[in-house]
Amino acid sequence: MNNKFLLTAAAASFALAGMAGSASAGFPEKDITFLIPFSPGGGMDSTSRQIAKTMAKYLPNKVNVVPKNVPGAGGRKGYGILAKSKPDGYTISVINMPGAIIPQLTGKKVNFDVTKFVWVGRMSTSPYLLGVSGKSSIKSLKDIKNLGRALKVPSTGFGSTAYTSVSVAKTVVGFPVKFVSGYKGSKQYIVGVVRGDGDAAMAPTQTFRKFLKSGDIRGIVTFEAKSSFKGVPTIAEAGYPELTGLGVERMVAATPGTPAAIAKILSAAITKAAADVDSQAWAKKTRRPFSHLTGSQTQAAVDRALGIFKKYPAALAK
Amino acid sequence: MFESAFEALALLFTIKGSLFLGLGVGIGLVFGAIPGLGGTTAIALLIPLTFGMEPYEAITLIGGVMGSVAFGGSISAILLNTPGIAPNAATCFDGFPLAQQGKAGMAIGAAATASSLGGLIGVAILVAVIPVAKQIVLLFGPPEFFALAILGLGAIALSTGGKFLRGLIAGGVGLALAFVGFDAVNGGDRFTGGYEYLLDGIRLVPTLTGIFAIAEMINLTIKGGTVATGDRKDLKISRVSDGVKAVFQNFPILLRGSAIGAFIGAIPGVGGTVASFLSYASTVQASKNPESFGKGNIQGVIAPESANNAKDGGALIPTLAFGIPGSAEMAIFLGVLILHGLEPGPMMLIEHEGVVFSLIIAVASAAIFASIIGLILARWLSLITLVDVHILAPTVVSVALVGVYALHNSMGDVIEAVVFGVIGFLMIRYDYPRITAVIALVLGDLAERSYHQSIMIGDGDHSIFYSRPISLGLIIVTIAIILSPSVRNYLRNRKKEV
Repeated sequence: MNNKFLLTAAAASFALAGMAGSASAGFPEKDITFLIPFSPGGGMDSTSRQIAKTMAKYLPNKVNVVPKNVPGAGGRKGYGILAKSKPDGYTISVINMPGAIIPQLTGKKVNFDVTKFVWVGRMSTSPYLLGVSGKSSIKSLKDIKNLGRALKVPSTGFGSTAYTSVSVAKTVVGFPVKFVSGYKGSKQYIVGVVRGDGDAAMAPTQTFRKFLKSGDIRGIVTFEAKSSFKGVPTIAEAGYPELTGLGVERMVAATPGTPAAIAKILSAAITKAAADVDSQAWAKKTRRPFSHLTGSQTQAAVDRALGIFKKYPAALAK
Repeated sequence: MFESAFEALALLFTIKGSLFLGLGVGIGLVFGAIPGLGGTTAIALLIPLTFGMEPYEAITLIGGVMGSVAFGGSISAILLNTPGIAPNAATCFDGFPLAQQGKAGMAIGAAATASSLGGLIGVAILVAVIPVAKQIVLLFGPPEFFALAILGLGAIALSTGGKFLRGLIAGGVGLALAFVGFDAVNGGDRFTGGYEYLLDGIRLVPTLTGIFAIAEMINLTIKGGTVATGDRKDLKISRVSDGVKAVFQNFPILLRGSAIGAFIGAIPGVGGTVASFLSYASTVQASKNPESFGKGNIQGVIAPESANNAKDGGALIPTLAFGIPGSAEMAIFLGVLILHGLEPGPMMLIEHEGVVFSLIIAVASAAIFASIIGLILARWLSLITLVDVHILAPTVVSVALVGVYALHNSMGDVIEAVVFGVIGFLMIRYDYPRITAVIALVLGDLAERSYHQSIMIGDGDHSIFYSRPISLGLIIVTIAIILSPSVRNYLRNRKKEV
């Protein structure tokens, strides 16, 4: 019985190895599906479509990379589809980090494990910025720490990337926060701050830019590595370098168990797609710059994001 | 400002401009008229096509769709008692009885005229408030949204006619359904029974398609025959021009409907269904003979149709002020703008004045254009009421279900539509008002969300609802609306006694 099992297992693993070998040799032999677990029209969608379009050029064989929107449950539906797909590299998906990892860290029942995904690259990131109303008396991070009361922060709901990022920032920097949660999106809660629903908001720098330009919002600190706003210090300059890069990262992953050789091919194609002339022109026009990472660099970035949550578990509390 | 407006107008009158507008209007009419499809689906499907276009071409195309969908939807509401899109639901009340009486032409004529005039008034209101758009948007925060949601829910009580208890039951069920899914405030999953599909809540498009379109088709099939009752030879398709005239005879109703539409349209997350319903309800209430409604009163077509097109102008107010979408269509449209390198936000009006006016002019012209096409086709469209329902119903149901599937490529949506189709049919059968359930479903999320937010903003103090003037005003209006029928009854009875 035992022997028979071993034999079968051995045969199976041989077969798998053989399949993997042959698959990566000829990969790709058919069209690749690029899942987008979000609705058409948003940042996740447009960036993914641009990469899908250009990466096809850089694959060893001439196939299409077909974008497919599978919105639902804040991305959870799409991640579930990726997890359940065949681990052959023909299904990849854009992954919103840290948004994708938060449900499982907060104990939600999910049918995927983000830590098991095979990372094939990062397309871009949107670092966050912390801003207050243009009329606010708060001028710096120091003012927030010395406020004498909790900072009131309009935000999307518990478990969202914005909510969690505010939690991370308050835990690391050390200031009390009172949330006004439940806004539909970043624009809505930024306007909430302008209106006086709360003191401060945290959202991608891209979303904030026009509000800073119009003077409705004052930037307090940006989580970019290098500030793109005059007079707004980076979080490293403010004394918290470990928070640099806090924000949304648009990563690409393949199904858990995808052979390394295939992941490498995909990673190389995404690398070239991000540097492609057409992509660069698009990035300039839409002001959505690529900040690309290879597969292994992406893995390191995921580990780093997870590390912050491990180090500061309080950031995941309600 | 005027320069940009004229430039936009000049662009529209180029061959390319008119072509894109015409295409948009055509698509909008068809997608509006077919239950299950709608503006959101049309725009979502058009997005990939706009990638290769110039920004103003894309805007003209999509403006054409936005301006014409509502009128397209009124055609099916009048002819088949099935709103093409949810905001036309209130048009069924009197539009369909008119069609049954053979006055479909008159109803369509009135709907077309009310739509285009309403659309124009909505745009006029928008242009008038553009200079203060930011301030207006900032006046309305969560406490005001909550008060508005309660106002809408209060109007439900009015609309039930004599079926007060049934109306409340239907409204309660709608409210309960609104709480299914992801809790946007606290992040929990509620009443999903472990189904991932339900995490997104009861989705509006499949639900409304089921409860209105499929339910009505089941109902018609069981009845058999044709939509227009009576002998075929006796049936006259009354003159479309009577409908046009009726709108001008009822100008105050048109104005009120347009004002309500523009106002509600400007409140993100409320939408056309509530706008047209409130316009209808207020017209019934202001009328000297409220009993005549629901039996084919032309005012019952003018009120919702004017509101439902005026809301597009209103929905642009928060969009232009801060880049916040006022409606589902607008949300997708903003995505299109971003793809073309235009960033919606507080600088939009300053940096992209031309784009803004292209859109405004496209929406306004589309409303007129769609109505002219509608008026021309009204006679022939009315003939659909003479088609045997055993041919009509299967066609409508299959097209509607394909449309429901197309929006998210989700089989779950199709199942949801069918389930609500059966529920809707049972509601027709046992005489429970469907629109009451729908309004509660639409407003439940807004009411809950903004209630929690208000409490958080006010640090747990409920005084936030009555210490802010606009919120207080809305609460007073709500109380007045709820009490007015009983006050009126009381006064009437006293008169009789005297």
